[in-house]
Amino acid sequence: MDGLQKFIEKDSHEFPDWINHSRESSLKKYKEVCPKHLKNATWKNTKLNEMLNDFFEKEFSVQQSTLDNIDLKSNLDNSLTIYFHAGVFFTEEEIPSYIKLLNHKYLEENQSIFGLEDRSERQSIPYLLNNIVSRDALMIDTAVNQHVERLIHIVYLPNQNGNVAPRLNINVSGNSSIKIIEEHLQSKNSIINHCIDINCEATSTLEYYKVNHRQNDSYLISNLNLNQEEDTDVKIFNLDLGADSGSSLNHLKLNGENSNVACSTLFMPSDHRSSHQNVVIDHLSDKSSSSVNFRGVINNQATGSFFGKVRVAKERRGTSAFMQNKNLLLSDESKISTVPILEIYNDDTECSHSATSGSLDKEKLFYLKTRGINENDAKDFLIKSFIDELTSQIKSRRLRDYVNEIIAGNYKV
Amino acid sequence: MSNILSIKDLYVDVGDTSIVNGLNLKISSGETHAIMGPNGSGKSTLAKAIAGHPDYKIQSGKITYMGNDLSALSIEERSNLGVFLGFQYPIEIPGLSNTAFLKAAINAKRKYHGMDELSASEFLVDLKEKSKMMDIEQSFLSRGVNEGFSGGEKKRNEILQMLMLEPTLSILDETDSGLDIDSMKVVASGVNAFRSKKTASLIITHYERLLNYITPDYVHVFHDGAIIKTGDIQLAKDLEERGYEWLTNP
Repeated sequence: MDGLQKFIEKDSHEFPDWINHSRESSLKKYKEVCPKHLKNATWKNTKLNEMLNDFFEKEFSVQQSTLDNIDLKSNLDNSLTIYFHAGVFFTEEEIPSYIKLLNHKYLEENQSIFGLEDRSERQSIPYLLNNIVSRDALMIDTAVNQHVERLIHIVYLPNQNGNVAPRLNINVSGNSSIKIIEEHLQSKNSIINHCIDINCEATSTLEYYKVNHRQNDSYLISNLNLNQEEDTDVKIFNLDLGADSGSSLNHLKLNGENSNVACSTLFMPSDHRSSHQNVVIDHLSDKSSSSVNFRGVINNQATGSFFGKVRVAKERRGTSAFMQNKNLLLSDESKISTVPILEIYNDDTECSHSATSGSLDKEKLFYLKTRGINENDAKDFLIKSFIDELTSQIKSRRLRDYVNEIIAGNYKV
Repeated sequence: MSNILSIKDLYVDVGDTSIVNGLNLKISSGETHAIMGPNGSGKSTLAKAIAGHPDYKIQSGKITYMGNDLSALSIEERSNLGVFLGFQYPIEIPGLSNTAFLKAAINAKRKYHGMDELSASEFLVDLKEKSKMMDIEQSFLSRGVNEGFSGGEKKRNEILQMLMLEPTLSILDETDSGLDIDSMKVVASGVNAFRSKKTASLIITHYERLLNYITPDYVHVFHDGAIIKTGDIQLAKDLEERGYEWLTNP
């Protein structure tokens, strides 16, 4: 904790008072909640304590914008690409009116992005840490009735010895639509604490994708808060290839009638890495529906966990919720923990949940081998089929191919 | 006629239980053999032991397939050398399409025999023709292996795989179970199309009705893991009429 205090004091002269005030109050709150939160299901399997010890004991070199060796060409043609490096968002293109890069412009009008008071979920470990460390933010705010044709591709360039805390704020205005993919490239010896708030106004649609490449000796915390108003449709797909300690927290609030969210995640930690997945869905409106589908492929000595909770409030009627977690353990040393929970306080709802974990099915392997397919290829087929069942649900063909390509490049039996 | 399969004094255990107890059987090219017997008599155990299932342990005796000691061969080698097992309960593999699966299987066999991969067009022409013969809609082929297939569709898919892989020895484990009469006719037409002077079939069944469409050369009655009687199609008809009791508990 002292390290955090010193961190704040060290560069407080660079910031306006309201930022310093926000950082101080975040630290105060952090000291309050941390001991309690570290014991709960979200954090108990993570190496957060270890990370926090490392957090300021390690002397992180200041991240310079040395981008000479980095190819800034997006792998997704015709997308609008925004980069994040050394704590700053930037782009080589003309910025459209619906996107704002704060780039050290600490305007008081943007205080709400860093404020703690207006939302309870901001008083969580990742948000509080993000508030202390964050230097920059990206805001996307579509106009009413605007249907953004171009894919927004946000690329987090590789960090080395970096301590970065990107903050994003997305508002999808009434009757508008947008498609966004965030991609964290491979970092080394870094701490990445990524927080994103998304609000979807009435009759808007959003496709949101996130790819966390395999991180080396790094910690990666991803925190997503989504709020949906009536008649909204949101599709989320996450691919997480694991970090030294990787945690993903998703809090999805269905706050309007006929709001619908589908959230899928494929987590594939290998070697000594981990991937801890948390999702909480709050059905706060009538006729809201959610579908959660998380799959883990855990290899070598890696660890994975799934914690999912669906809450249906007492007065909410006509809701439907489906939650599934399936895990494949590929070695004797790999570990998984899964906790799916339904908290239903209303009879007029249709909810189901299931969780399975196990190694490759011996009977399926036998079947494939009886058709002449050798052991390695048979295993490959079964793993791929397990993955494809999930990735085949990605709506955009282009992004489906992109995600499958990343998986293929990062995985081998 | 050449010898395809020779089983000599075979004992097979599953776990601590001995299921096949001193079985002897010879199958030559061009022949179709039927094995009939009550539940638990060891019919499926024999099929899985020939295919090489790791849970079915050969305790003693020998299975020779076209001059090869089968126990020395891996499961996939047995397949690549021409042994096909049609499953009683075909496995579902969602996410792996029937087409991709069949192509991989055919090319695995070709690679084993030092042949080039089958071209996409040759494969598709063959697949289209044989799936039509088995009354399998084209749309089914892009679905996961057996995913959401009815019982009859699964069995027809097994026979389609057999026709595509062109094995030498086909072992069909209760392929008729769960089939309606129309599906049974389709399955039988596939099996009859496979029959030739160079191939052989071993058909495992409970009932005589499949044998009305596929006439076997030999009918064997299985009991307690061994053949207790061998005859021709008339034996199957007798069993249909009289049950197994007169043979198993005379």
